Amino acid sequence: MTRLLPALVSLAVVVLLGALLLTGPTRDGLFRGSSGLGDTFSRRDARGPAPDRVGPGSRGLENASANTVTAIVLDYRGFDTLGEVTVLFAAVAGAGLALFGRRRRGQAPPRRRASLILTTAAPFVVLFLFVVGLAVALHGHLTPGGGFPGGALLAAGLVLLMSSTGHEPSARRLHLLEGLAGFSFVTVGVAGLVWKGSFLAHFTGGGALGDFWSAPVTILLYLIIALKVSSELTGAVRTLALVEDPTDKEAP
Amino acid sequence: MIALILLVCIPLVVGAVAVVTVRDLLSAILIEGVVSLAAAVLFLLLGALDVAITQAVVGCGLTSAVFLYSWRRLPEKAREVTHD
Repeated sequence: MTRLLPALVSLAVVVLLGALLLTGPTRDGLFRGSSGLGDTFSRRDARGPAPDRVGPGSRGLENASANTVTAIVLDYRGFDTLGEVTVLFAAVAGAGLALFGRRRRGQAPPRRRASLILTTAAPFVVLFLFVVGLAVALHGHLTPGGGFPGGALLAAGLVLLMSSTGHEPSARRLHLLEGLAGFSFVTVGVAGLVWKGSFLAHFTGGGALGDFWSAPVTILLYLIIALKVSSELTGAVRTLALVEDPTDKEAP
Repeated sequence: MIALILLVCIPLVVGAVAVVTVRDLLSAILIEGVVSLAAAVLFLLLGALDVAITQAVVGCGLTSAVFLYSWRRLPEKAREVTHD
């Protein structure tokens, strides 16, 4: 019972938080013109004259997402964002290169056990970070945030999980996730090129400005960015965590 | 509102000075985390919500984690700063 209780409490917290993020306190449901917590922010932007329909015939790119910053980052400057993601990859790869060869071969370095406070609090905080991170990434076209902060939240959760349990995620899996995300970003871009005639163009229709489904391509791109950012940051911290400990040599 | 912003700025400035003057590196890392958190609150008060989220997660969380991992790798002698 004592082992089951934390699991049940954290499950309840996550379900409650998820429901709150999906439905929001004022409006009704994710799929009916509401975006949960996003509502509070997006309606402010979306208010005004009658909401524009965003669809295949829509001309203005910024119509697709109520969040102006996202409209600029992923619509007008989508190609730049691809470059930005590449820069992030290069930075992490550079850090890995600088630390290359300093890793202990064979077994993982010995580590102290995580403290009681960390192991007790970690499950709650990790679940909270995962749910909020995913929500921030998915609502990037409506609310402040998006794939970069969302991915960083996911990475923070993974790092916390890593330091509390002492198990690192496998490098192969992280690299696969990262490569897959990078490939998907370009694939979405090429899909826009094929169907709409320009790289990263919105190749699907959307709902009214402010709806969750108002910008499906933006949701997809921010989800991909969140995956890429989280796997890259986790990989960077993992590399640092596994570097050989110089103080170990002095120990008998 | 202005008073609240100024109130947040106090730990920001005091902490920023403390980070570079304190002798113990571990204390410097922890104070840096607090400074980042204060900066995140400041961004929140100024209405830049997405910057605040990023500052809290990256500045306060991940940067501190990276610093702490690096600190753990430092030899005993290097953990205290000597101001010449």
